Amino acid sequence: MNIAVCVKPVPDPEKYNLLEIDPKTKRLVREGIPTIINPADKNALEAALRLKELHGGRVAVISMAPLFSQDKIKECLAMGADEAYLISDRAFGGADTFSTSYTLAKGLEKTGIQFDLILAGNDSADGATSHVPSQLGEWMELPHITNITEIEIHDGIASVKKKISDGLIEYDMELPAVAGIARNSNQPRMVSAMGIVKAKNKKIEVYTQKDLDVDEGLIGLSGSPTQPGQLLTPDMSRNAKLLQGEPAEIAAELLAIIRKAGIAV
Amino acid sequence: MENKKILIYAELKGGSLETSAYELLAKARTLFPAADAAIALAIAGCGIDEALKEAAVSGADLVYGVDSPRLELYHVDYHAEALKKIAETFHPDIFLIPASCTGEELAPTLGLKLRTGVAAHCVDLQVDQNGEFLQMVPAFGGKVIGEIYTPKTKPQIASIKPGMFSVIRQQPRSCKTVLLDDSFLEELKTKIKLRGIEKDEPSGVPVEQADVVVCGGFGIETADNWKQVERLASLLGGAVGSTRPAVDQGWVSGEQQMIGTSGKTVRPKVYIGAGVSGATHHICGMKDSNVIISINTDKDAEIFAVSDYKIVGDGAAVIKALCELLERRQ
Ligand SMILES: Cc1cc2nc3c(=O)[nH]c(=O)nc-3n(C[C@H](O)[C@H](O)[C@H](O)COP(=O)(O)OP(=O)(O)OC[C@H]3O[C@@H](n4cnc5c(N)ncnc54)[C@H](O)[C@@H]3O)c2cc1C
Ligand SMILES: Nc1ncnc2c1ncn2[C@@H]1O[C@H](COP(=O)(O)O)[C@@H](O)[C@H]1O
Repeated sequence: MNIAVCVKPVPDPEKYNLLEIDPKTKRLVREGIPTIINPADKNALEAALRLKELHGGRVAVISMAPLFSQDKIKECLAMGADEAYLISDRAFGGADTFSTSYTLAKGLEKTGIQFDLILAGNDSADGATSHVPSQLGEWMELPHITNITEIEIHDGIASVKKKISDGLIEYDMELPAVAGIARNSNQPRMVSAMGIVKAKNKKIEVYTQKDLDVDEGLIGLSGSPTQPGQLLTPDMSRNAKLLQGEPAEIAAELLAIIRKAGIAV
Repeated sequence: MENKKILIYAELKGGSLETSAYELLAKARTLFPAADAAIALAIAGCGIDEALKEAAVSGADLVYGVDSPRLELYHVDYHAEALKKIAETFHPDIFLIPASCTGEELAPTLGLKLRTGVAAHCVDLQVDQNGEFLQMVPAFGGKVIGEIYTPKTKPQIASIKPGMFSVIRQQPRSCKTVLLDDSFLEELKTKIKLRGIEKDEPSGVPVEQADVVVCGGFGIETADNWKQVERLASLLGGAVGSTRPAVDQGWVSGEQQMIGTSGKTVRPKVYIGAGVSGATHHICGMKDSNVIISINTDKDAEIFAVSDYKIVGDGAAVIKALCELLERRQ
């Protein structure tokens, strides 16, 4: 079993309250917000490592990100991935999900490995489009399903459970296939000291544009069908009026407010 | 300039149209007020006669249907192919898809099949001063909103979270219904086999439809205290809402009542949040509530900044007091 896991370094989602837009440059100020591996991608990596424990084979992680993300990729190797591929080139910058998934597909092809399964997080914390897994499947002409909470492999088939609004749907996908793994669907393992030592000898191969057989019209910002306009920070603030007193007094005030808002109780 | 064509994917629920179809129809009508846009609904299901009839009087100009046993339950390959066929028949400029658990997967899949751009989870749709369609997408859990254009390719696909727009019933128009031949689905090869479906027990009033939402967060502290949240919701004839940690604690079963970027979008008359810190991911799903009341022990809690009324104190205690007051009055 060869499994690829797509991982994306993102600003730590627990700190998004701190994000600001610079009023002059209109750019996002991310200072003081550390980069982490996208939470759902850790669930995907955990799922891959468990499948490897059951069925053998190897787990490769692949990422399209700036070079400084190597540290974060190392963390995936320390968790237990066997090798890593980092697609990194200015030319890929500003890619939307259409061109990101195209570039990732080309990167996977370049590894020369026949992957049986390609896992991604279901959504990234920053963009949160949840597009890349399906679009990667389309580029690679492989079956794909997202929002997966459980995955099992047997006889060349991936049996999966997909979360829908009122329950779960079960499917069998013929391998090779692409799966988007839901956040919180498992408990990603911690990095052990042994893992860190082992990671030192694992390779991170870097691909630039010239290493990949890519069509220039499909990469980076210029190859993206969607184009960003301005960034705005919505003003959601309200004038919170303080209610004080004993719980019983507050309750009486609340009841009046609730009635005034049009609730007949 | 030719009039714009807008296609809306109308999802089905038990044979009739999901509310999202009406939300998107109402919004689509407002986009090009000067030039009358042609709006079509796309319906893909099995046994869709009733849905087609309902759609014909919804205020749309056109209804396209694909009726096939292959579409009885959701299947990404069959549903995407059916919608692709409709899009290739109608040639829309804009294609609106509800970002439901299933639409969320169909939108990007169609984006590639139709070789076009997709804007995800839009919180608003606009037309700028140059007449260009503009999609507003949330980033960083909703802390930032980005404008997205799809300048070069058609259709411009946008997915929109259910609940984002209000339903405004439209006058029926003279509407043509086109049922497409479904044989292309019989011929479609798929490597995905549907095995079955497990439905959750429905848990009371759906949170997105309630006039009052009582939302508990991690600050509710215990499963026992959580019962007060349920008691208040029921006394007010409303629904229980939750944050992510409340789901993780097992105080609510499943995510059906979870509010936020990865959960439901609610806009009730009254939202009461107790023990909720006000993380961006949660606020994104409740900020449009009419009246927001928050209870938190931390006087600097972020949720207070988006509240109309704040109470610095114990969430469970205040909720319990309100329950007692309501019970005494009954
Ligand atoms: C990609 C991503 C998507 C996410 N999507 C969602 C989502 O859709 N919805 C969602 O809710 N979360 C989501 N989260 C999680 C989110 O970031 C926050 O972690 C979560 O909303 C916090 O929930 P909380 O307010 O209940 O808990 P906490 O942040 O732990 O806050 C608890 C609050 O309770 C207060 N408190 C403590 N004791 C008491 C008491 N006795 N009485 C009153 N108040 C008390 C504390 O002061 C604190 O403010 C997401 C996270 C990520 C990374
Ligand atoms: N630049 C990237 N490099 C590697 N994987 C990515 C990248 N962008 C997205 N992904 C994968 O696709 C998933 C969904 O991302 P998104 O479509 O942005 O919500 C992520 O959880 C990752 O697994």
